[in-house]
Amino acid sequence: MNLMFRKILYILLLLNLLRIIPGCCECDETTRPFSFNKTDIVNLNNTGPWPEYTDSDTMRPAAVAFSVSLFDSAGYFYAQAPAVETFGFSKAQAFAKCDCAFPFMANQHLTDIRIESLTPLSPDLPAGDVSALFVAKPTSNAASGNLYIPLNDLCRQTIGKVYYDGGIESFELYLKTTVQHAEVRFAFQFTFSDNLVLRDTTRLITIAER
Amino acid sequence: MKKALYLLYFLLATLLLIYPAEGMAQQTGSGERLSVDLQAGIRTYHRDSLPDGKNIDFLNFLDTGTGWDAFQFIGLTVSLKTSDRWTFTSNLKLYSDFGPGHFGIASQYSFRKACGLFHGGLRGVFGVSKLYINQFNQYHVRNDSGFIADLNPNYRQINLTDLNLGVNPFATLDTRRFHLKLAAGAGINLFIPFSETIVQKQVNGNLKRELRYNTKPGTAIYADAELTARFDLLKSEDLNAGIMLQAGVLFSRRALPYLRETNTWTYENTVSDDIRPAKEWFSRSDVSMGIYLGL
Repeated sequence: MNLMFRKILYILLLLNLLRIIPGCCECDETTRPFSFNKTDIVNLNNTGPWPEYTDSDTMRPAAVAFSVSLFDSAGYFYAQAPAVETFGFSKAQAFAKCDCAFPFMANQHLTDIRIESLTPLSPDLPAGDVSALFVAKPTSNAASGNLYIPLNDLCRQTIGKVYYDGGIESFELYLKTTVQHAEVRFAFQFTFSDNLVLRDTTRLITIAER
Repeated sequence: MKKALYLLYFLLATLLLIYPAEGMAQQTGSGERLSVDLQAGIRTYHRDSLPDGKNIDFLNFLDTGTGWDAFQFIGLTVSLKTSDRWTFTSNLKLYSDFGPGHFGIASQYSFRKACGLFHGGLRGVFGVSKLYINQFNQYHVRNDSGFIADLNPNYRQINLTDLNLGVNPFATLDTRRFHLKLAAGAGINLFIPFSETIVQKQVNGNLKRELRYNTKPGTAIYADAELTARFDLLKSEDLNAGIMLQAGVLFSRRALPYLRETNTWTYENTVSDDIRPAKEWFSRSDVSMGIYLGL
């Protein structure tokens, strides 16, 4: 009898171990669709080691930078997904309720970024297309590398991209040249694979040596 | 992980020495001698810290650029004399952080003929040593004006691993209680390659650049010498124990060549430079004293 009791205890112990070993939440990984239809541009202060958001419209001549967000105006930043329930002997888990969020996938991807200067940048650079003078840095958690990437690489990265952090495509744009004009302003044009074109304009930036 | 690996090597080598010793002793009955010594000492590395040149020279940053790197250590050596002619030795030095700083193995062949109290022989040695390159980013801090020279705010330390493989003819002088051994020879040494990255950003500007250093072994020929003096305090047929003093020195003309990849703004146009700093005198010296037990 005693031996039988110990055997049952042993089997129960094994079953409980099986509960603990795969103790992570199982979330529904099905992507939720969304569409880019809105833009937001924020000025960056890039004078120090790392860029910072700023409300100021003043930038240094060699540190003209902007943060851009493309998103769905319906605001699908976070969608809670139900945890996948299993029948019978349930698994052990750290939280009473699994915090599952649906990943997002956009209905379209970026195909082109065109940046136009509405003011001259220097005597050699009149107002006009200055896309080639900009580089980008993705800001999502999946972004890698220490340097910037060309704008067309940024567009390529949005093809088939799954957005785990919310349905926002965010990146930073940095001007490579030194501005020799007191004030600058840029118009951004984002073209998507479904021929949608989103346009937005920066605020008027005052260039200050100090 | 590296420490564990060093310890594993040492334990394996020691086991290899001890187990055959027991086995053979049973087979032959005599002839094998096992010796263990424990020492405390100091190891120094020296290589002149030269003025900054056009390119970084990593060896300028041995112990923050003073040219000296010094370590206190505790050394444990296990030797097995399997016959009158062959002796095998493994040696581990633990630095003051109790991390393995040196691991070495040696096999020694003694010539049959003796000349009075003198014996001679040949010894093959293999050693792995650790030294540090500290704050090498200071080169960029001093030379790259207009840039935040290193975006990595951490203390920049590189564990540099030095390998040496050599042959030492040796001579011993053995009296009843006093034993002196002088070994001197040559070999090759090399540094295990490492990679380091420096990311820089223009002050008040968007310009960023990345310097990626991939070092090469920097193989060089060395000359070394070692003097060991032992004095038996206890001596019997089966056991001898005593005190010992050991000093060794290694000289080499060394450099740490590397491939530098520079990327500016993006990773699109990588500029590669093969940098070969001039060879400079490099030395390693050890002084230690301790006790030994021979069975």
